[in-house]
Amino acid sequence: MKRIATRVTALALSLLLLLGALPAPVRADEAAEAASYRAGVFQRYEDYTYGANNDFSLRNTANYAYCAWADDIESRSGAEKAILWATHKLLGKELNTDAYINYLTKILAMQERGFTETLSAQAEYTAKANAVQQAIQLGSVSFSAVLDMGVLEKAAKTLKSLGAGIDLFKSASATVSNVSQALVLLHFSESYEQKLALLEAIRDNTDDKALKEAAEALIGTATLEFSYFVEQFAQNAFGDYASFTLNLNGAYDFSELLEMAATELADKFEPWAKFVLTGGEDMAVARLAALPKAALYGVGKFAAAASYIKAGFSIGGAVMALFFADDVELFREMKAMDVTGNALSAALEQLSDTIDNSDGDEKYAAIRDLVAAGQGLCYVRLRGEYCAVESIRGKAAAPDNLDEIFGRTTDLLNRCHNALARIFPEGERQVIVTVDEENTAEAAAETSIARIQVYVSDNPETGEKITASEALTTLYADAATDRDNAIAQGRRYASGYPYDYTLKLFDAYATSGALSLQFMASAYLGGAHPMSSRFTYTFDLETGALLTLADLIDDENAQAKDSLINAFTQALRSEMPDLPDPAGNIRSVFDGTQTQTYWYFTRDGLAITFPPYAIAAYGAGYITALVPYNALYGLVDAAWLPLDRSSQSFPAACSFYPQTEAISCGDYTNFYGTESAFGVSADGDALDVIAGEGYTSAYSTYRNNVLFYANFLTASDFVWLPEIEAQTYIIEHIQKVDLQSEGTPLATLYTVENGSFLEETVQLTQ
Amino acid sequence: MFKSKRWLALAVLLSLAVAVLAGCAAPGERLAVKLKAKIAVESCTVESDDAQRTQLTATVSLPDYSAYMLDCLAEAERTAKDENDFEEKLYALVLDAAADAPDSATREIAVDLTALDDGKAPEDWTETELDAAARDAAFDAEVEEFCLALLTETYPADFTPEDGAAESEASAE
Repeated sequence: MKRIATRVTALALSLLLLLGALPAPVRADEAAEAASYRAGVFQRYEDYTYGANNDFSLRNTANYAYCAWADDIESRSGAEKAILWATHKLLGKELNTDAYINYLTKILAMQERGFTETLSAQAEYTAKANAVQQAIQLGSVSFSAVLDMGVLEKAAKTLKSLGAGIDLFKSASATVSNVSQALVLLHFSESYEQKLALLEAIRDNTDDKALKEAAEALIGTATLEFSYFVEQFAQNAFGDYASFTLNLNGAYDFSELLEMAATELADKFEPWAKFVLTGGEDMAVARLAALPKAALYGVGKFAAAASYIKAGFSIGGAVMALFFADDVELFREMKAMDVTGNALSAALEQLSDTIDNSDGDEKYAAIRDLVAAGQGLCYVRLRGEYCAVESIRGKAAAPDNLDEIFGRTTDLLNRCHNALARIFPEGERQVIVTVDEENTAEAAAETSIARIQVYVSDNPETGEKITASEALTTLYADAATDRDNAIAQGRRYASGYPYDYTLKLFDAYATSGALSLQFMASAYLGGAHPMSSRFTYTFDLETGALLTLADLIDDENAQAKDSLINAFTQALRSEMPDLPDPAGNIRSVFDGTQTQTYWYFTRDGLAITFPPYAIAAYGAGYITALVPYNALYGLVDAAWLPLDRSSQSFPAACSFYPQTEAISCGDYTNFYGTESAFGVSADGDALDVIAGEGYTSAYSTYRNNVLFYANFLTASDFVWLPEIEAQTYIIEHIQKVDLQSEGTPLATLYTVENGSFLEETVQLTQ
Repeated sequence: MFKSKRWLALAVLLSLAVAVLAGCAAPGERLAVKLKAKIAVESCTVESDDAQRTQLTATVSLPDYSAYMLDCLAEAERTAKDENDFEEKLYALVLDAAADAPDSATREIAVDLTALDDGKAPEDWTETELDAAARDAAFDAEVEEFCLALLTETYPADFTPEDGAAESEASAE
């Protein structure tokens, strides 16, 4: 859920930016927020450690072909002289410090991109822990008040060992004047710390001299990079600083910030580093001592890798092709990745021990280091595995399922990477509603009652509370009575057409804080047409309590309730211009007996639906007044509104899977619903996924009910669908490719035939 | 006078040292020198790129050493005592096999001269040095091709990843 965390960060940054620019009350609770966040990190680390065993999957060399290859090469005995000789001839040569600097730079570049949300969360935490916002409200503060002094001292020591002519503490005496500036500074600091964590983990856990030297050299390079940004910041040398910070205002996220930093690196960092290491013209690069020279070599590699950061990539797939390698290089890199991976695995074990035996800041720092080393290991594994696959591609010895093996590995690594990534950012709440149907069928009557199960990712007890709520229990009990009545009546009176009774979930939608569920009951007990009624419930996703409209009102706006009633009244008036008292009708939903029903959240806004007869004649049908979300800000407390997704994209597609495929080929960690013949999954993050029984004719195609709903699905989720008589399913979701777009609803009709299915993209009838 | 005698003595000592060191060089290396001697440099060009790195590009003709190595592999593997001995046996067999064979391969090679000596300007490289660099690179490329053929066979083609959710941590690193 990287994009979601990014969006949260972007939103937080924009809020903080506003707070930094406008007068605001001093917040004394930053330390408490930091402590609470840190406790969350500790808990999420526990979840990671004792959860889906991702840590073991990542460290277990038996999962990776390149490790198996390296182990095999190492186990060759003297009897296999030719292989041994070829191995040493090819891999020993040039697997030196410079080669390792090259490899590690690629890993760092990949990690920097993938670590974005973690860095953002860490930067925010440090800002809170250092009470930066409060300090800035009282006046400008120095860099050293924002940054961790331990980091500055460590960096200064490294600079000294490099002989670099730069006084970091002089730059750190410069001031920051707003929170956004502090956060950018902290971002660079956190980025530096995570690079150090990875490089120190490698340096301290390998016996390979060349790798150790490379890690040490890159610690120097990373220190130079950090010092460069601090110095440039101090001198306000980012020419476009205004746009630099302006871009944080919701429209962009840290990925863009990284790209801007990468541009800086590519253009200016290398000459700057050369200057500070050589003292300008006084000393040629060639005369630098070994460590500064190697660090400077790393600078060139950092600058080159910046283009990869700018190009943008994610774990797996296209990223690997960016780093071209010839056949020999592939084998050499497999070996290098094996050596590096061994060092990181050993580091992870040590860090786990440190985490288990520490608390407070020390524990937090150790978890940060573990995430940095772990995500670095993900990229090392990915890189090694890619080399393994490419080294054999097209050769006679290549297995037929080469791409399948690589696909499985990238899926596994994605899972491990995401599991680590979830430790720092506070993930978005996932809400999933599944449905079980209880059906009866006989000649005289057919009935169906849908019962739901609610899953709330960050608060499973809330999900259980909603599932077993009094409102829903009463609904089911009433439905059971009506069903039994329909069966009894049918047996007695039905002739020709059977009687029927159906309770179905008609619609579902979750905002950031609330879940709205609409049920529809329909009964045919003879006569000209069936009778139907709707039951609408909106639950608090924090407590599981049933909400009233009054609960939603923004307390900070004294006019909010009246303004909201006015907005609904206007909406109702435009829907039914002839209503005599639309304001009174709306007010009755706020204050009357229907405070817990009639209203609900939808994808488009907050709606009130009046049933037939409630405010107009039966023929007018259901009448809905809708107030779009953009008109609700300031009227409804933001906690109840949907998240702002302007900096997120949801490009994933949803797929329909038969049971056999789902179980044998999938790589899912979360299953929802009751196992059945078919289910749904997404190949990435998919927004507002809803599945139901499909109905299609020459004139219209629509979803008849809801068989499951998810505010979002990830590639790790699989949702079983209840089996239905009609054998046609419709799956809808929102595909959002552009950050700024609202997204496009996509719907697919699946028709089941003989255990298989036909698939057709459809336009749903409005 | 004394000075010139001293220089002469030093020169003699140096020559002796070089001769001794050459004699002590690994047998495989001495054979490699002989194999490289059979490589003919047909043309070469020295250029500096935008990053001020000096590059040599050359066309060489040589026996198809990598093919000879594959032909001689089994015999060398069978008779060699150890890894170093394998190299000696292999090179000796290839030298014999290619003794009377005409050059059958042409290679285009590129050498980063800056990597060999970053203090040297393009014009400072002598023809002899460039020829040696081209021969070394061409021979290395042949050896690399042969080694690659051997290493490709070591890939675990039947590799099956373990279930990532396995409970035991026994085989974790």
